[in-house]
Amino acid sequence: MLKLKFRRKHLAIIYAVFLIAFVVAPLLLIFYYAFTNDAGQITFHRMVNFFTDSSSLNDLLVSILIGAANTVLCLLIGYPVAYLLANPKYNKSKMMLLLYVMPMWINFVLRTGATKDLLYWIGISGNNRPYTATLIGMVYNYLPFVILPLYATMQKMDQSQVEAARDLGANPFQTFIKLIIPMTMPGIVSAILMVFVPTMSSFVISNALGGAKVNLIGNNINTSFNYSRWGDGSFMAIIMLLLIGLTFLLTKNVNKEEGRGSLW
Amino acid sequence: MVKKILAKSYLWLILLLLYAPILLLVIFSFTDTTVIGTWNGFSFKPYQNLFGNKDIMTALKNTVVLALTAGVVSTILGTVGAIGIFYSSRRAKNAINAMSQIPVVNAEIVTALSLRILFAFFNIELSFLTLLIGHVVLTVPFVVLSILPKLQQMDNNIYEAALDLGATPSRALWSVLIPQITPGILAGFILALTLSLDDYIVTAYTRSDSFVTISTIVEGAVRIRGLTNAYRALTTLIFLAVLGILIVMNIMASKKKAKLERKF
Amino acid sequence: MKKVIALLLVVFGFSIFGSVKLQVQAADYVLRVYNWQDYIDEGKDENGNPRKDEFGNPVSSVIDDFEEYYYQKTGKTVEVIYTTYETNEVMLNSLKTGNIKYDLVCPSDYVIQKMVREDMLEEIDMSLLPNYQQYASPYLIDIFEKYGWDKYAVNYMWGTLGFLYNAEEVDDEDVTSWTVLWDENYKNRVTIKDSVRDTYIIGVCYVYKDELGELAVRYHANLINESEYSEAVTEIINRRDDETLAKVEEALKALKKNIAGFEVDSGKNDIRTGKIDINFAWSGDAIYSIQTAWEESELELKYQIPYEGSNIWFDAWVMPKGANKELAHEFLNYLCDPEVAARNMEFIGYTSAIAGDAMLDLVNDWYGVEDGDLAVDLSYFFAGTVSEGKSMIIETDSDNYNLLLAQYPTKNIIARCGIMEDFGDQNEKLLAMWQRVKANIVPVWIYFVAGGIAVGIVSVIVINRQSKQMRIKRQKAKVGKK
Repeated sequence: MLKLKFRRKHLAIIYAVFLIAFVVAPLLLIFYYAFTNDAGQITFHRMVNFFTDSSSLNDLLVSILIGAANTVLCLLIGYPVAYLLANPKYNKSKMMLLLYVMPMWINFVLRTGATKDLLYWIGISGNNRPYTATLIGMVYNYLPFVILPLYATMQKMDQSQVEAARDLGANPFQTFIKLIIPMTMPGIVSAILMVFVPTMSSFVISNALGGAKVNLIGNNINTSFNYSRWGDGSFMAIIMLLLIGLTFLLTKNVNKEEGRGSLW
Repeated sequence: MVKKILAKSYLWLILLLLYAPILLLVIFSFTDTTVIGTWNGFSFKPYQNLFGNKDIMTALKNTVVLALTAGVVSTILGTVGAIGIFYSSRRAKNAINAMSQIPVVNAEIVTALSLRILFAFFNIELSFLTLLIGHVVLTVPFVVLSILPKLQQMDNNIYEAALDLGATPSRALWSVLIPQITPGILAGFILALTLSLDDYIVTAYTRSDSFVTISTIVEGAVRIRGLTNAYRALTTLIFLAVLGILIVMNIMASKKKAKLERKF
Repeated sequence: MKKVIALLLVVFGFSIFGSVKLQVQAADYVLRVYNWQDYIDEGKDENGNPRKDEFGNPVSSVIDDFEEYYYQKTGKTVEVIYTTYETNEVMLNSLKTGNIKYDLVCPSDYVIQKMVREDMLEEIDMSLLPNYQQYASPYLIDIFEKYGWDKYAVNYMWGTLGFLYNAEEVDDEDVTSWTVLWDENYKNRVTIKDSVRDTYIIGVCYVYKDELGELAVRYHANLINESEYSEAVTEIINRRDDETLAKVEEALKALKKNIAGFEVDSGKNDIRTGKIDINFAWSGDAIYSIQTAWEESELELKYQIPYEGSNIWFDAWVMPKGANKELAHEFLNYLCDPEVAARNMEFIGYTSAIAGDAMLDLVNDWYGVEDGDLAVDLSYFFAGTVSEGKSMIIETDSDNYNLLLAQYPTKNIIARCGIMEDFGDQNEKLLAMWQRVKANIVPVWIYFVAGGIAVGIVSVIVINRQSKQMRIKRQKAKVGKK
């Protein structure tokens, strides 16, 4: 009687099967639908259409710009926050950090609705300033996602190096540019990864705050799908995948030391 | 000294901006008015509206049931997966890890679209099961990421010792291995809960339209008519609940600290 | 540790129990109904809470009433799972890709054509619908027969498309033409629908307004009769050739710069709160808004169908293949009871397809004014369903005239309304065009900014690389010297 000896590593098979069925296979289907037409034949017409049509390129450009603007704004606001929170000179209790993270636990659609009401109250709405409203909503939603990784990196920062730099005569500006920023680069990169592409692929915030005038790639994928145009939606999904891959490539060198395989 | 004051005020200012929309809703949840801006005297009408609204109450119940179920399934699958990955050969480990990271780095709408296309391709009717699968796909990689580090920090010899002392592999697994990684399992469970409670996009794409969650019902309200005052009451209650959890956590943490200090 | 596991198991048990309870049906039968939002009286108010009628009694939901009625009639329980959608396209998507087995859906005319073409529907058994046969307006039934929908569809509500506008801010003259939407005087004060076919009507009427104007002249000179007029309009608004699509696309892109936004359901509220002055609306939403605005704040809103022409639409119940026909017919017959139809009509504001004595009395109740100076002849709609000798002419005054016409347009108005047809193979191109219209408008300076940023980033990277290489060279040189 042949009984397969139970090894712990066999447990991985269960997980692997699940992943293949519900993560890999669906992505393969996306590729299938992106590059075939209704009759099932392989076609590249969607790719051609996407890159020759000014409106889809416009949407891509706007998405990239809003993604970039959101990332930059979040970094500008969030970097000092993380720095101050991580520096025992300015902040001793953990309470402040928790307060900053708490909005993440309130349902994000609800928060977006609240932002819409607040902005309407002060006069900014999808009717007159769709892009401003959308950007404010994005920053508001993604700020905690920037503060957390930055805080984590800054906590591990070696303060003695900073003091050494000061002792050696560097002024605060030089210390900041040449020492602190490179030391916190992994955190900055984490923040960018968590904000840039997700902004482009979201559609709830732009729908709610932009009055259906702000069209990000996420909106286009959603609309394509609602109109049962799977092929177009799938192709744009692939564009998203490409962008994600690109951001990864550009930032992978920085992350080598961090060892990003963990959350602890 | 000045620096300290500036730092503190910056932190508090950004915090206030972060909470402004929520606080606005909280304040106006205590008055019976449709439009925010007019104060119609103190009233609990929005709370009456909230509890009398069967749709929102059903959505609340659904959201909690879904989060708990997805959390448990995801934690179990994640634990199995993490243990399996940890003891696998290098090649298998890399392959499974790569697949597992896909939902983490992927844009949520791509995950959602791919799952929906998978179900449609096989003519599977959308139901609670498809929704559950969607949420598990979304959360299980994070559970794995929570448990793997604990496995790495674990003392491997104890498992071998248990086997030497005559325990069956499964008994050793259960009584020796798992207790060492329990903090990771717990953290993973809570992480899965949080992600599931907050999710909108995957929910919208994989649910049967008769299963309403807080995310979907609020999204409909926000996009179409704006939040009625019942939603303001809901926001206030969620805010208070999260604040309550935060305070409890803080008290427990300081109690633990006091205990440790007393010992010395 | 054991406590933790025990806790987890308890939690797990509860959640499984909860989810199983969600699946288990307590009733003998289940009826899945998929309808437009706010298209039936569920006995709720704006906040989703049960509402009371003028005597303080709670208003029940039509759905609950049907479940009660079915139980009384057959002794079996039925659970109606009622879900809603906002546009025809979303409905089709749920049906096709979600594989959800609905028993009843309520699409618009052009979608019914598509569904019939694609053989997606079960046939209607008229013998199971006595209420429909007796009380539905023969005028509408004729239209359905003419188009061949009668075998598959039971008409629910119908109406027109036009302008809902704030009579105090907007000139009555201005809204008699579609061109008002492009009028800069109303910039950011008008909204249109985020719905491809409805907005297409606007575009096509704008592009061919001269041709439509000529038709109107010939109609009023009695050179063509009503049916010829409406057939000609139908032909024009359904033009879908590539050239028309291109012209409409241009017109809509220009329109986009003038509007405050696209909406699907918020328009009827926005105009009451003063956010906008003109809203492109379905007649039923207009009626609802006009009534509510008057009750709430004595704000006068009116409805107008432009003179160039517009669209007359019908929403009808169909049964997707595989539906529970017996139950579905029961539900439909219940809805066609004049009292139930009147209830729905009153709550949602739309016009029911059901006629009959009770309905005529209701209309008189709402709009009739003793010794009124205006008379509206509704015999075209009610003939054949009311008792002998009953007058089908409503006497009314100028206060109610506009609203009555929104509810029941005169034959003259209907003459200039065309019916939407399914675009068949051109659907793809139409949807592609629509996505292009909705795309962002990018002003030229953005291209410069984007280009500048790209150049900036590339140069930073290049300079960084250069200086790194220089440093390495210098270090190598130093080491070499030693």
